[in-house]
Amino acid sequence: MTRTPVGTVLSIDVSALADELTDVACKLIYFASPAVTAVRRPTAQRLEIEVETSVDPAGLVRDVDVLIGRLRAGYRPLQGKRLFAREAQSPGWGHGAADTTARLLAAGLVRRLGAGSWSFAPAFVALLETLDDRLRRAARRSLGATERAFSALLSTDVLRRAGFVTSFPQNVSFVSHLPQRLDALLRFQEANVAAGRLSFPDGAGLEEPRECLPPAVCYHRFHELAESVLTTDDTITARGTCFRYEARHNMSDLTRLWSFQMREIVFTGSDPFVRASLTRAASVLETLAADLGVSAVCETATDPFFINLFAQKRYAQLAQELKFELRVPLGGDDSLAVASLNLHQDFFGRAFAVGRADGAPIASGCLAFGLERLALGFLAQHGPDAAAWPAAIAAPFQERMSGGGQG
Amino acid sequence: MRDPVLVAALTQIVAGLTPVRPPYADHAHIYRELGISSTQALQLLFEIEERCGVAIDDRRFAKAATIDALAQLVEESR
Repeated sequence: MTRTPVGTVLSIDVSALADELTDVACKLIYFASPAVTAVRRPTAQRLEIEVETSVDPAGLVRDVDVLIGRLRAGYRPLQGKRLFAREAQSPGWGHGAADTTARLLAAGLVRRLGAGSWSFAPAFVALLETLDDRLRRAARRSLGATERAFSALLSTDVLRRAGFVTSFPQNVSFVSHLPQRLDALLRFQEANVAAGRLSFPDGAGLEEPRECLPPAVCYHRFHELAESVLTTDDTITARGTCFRYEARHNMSDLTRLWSFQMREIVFTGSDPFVRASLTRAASVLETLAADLGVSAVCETATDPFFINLFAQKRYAQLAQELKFELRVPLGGDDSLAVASLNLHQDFFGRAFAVGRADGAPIASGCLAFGLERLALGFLAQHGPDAAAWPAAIAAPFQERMSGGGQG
Repeated sequence: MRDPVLVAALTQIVAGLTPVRPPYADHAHIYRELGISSTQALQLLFEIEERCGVAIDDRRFAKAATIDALAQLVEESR
């Protein structure tokens, strides 16, 4: 999918920057200004930043230089660890993220509704549900999880306690409402009766948000366990709609959704229990990749922490092997993280005052899947024709499409 | 027996990062007992490398959780 640049294109030299830092910079540059409409890396040495013509280019270049400087400060190259890798026999279908998205659009399987917002046709839904069904069964049978469900909204105080608002301020989606006052509501209603666009007149602005949209499912779990004592090790699984704002112009293809479905398995209890659970979860991932017939790699990874925390938090994650991602190739040079294994140590146990019987804070960990990403990775490698899929997925998929089959 | 000068230097570095005042027990866990956070680990590593004039293996550093273990790591890195 090619796009003719609109506006000004700025060129930034990144020859002195490690590849890993350049990848992170590409995501964060979108947050340097809402006028950034695209960030590309045409060569290993150069980034191109497309901006609307209203922007002062010199000012933006200065901001990007500061951003890159902060990412570099304290950066220490670290060798990652690979848990497993497998090569599949399938010839591949998509040629990268943009191409796979374009093909699925052309096939009528998806439709873009807005920034990071899509609708999905019955066949895509059936594939996603087939995959989630597979994950639910693994969670219950292989990892001993019981199922829970949570409401969609999350308290902003919970997200603050979890450290998310300081680690990833750029990704938070806040929820608010109009003032609970008749005068304000009437003023808002009058301003919007015949308005062509949404209007917030004086005195009818949004209230300070006390709720937000959850960026992961596990925060609900820690919220419900807060200020309690767990006397036994425990594993739950839940699915929820999660939200991560990734900058308006950086959510153009199916690899980056603002709103997405997450299946998460959360382990809580003693440190040995959590570590053993994550080891079993890694086996679940390897078996899953084999059943799906996809090429995949599972290796250490780091979260996209915001610039001034990036170096320290990245180091902690990599050096202590706190995070592993399952990445699947999408064709071309693109790959996509579809699942992650996360060792929290006692971070959430301390943050939410969840104790064990001996008084120590609980350890926790999780295995999390982005369901649309998992479906996208599967389709990028196999294509949408179920006749070409592994039987382990094709058979339940066909049953769903024909109207039968449940979880 | 660890080099007392090295141990003193490491104790000073750790003391700069934790609200817990020295002296520390020989095998006090610098993260769990002395309250150094995992995100301070990078700063700790940089200060040790700079003060002691060594380059430390990151994976071994991640496992060294006491001043004694850090001293051993520094000695072996020289």
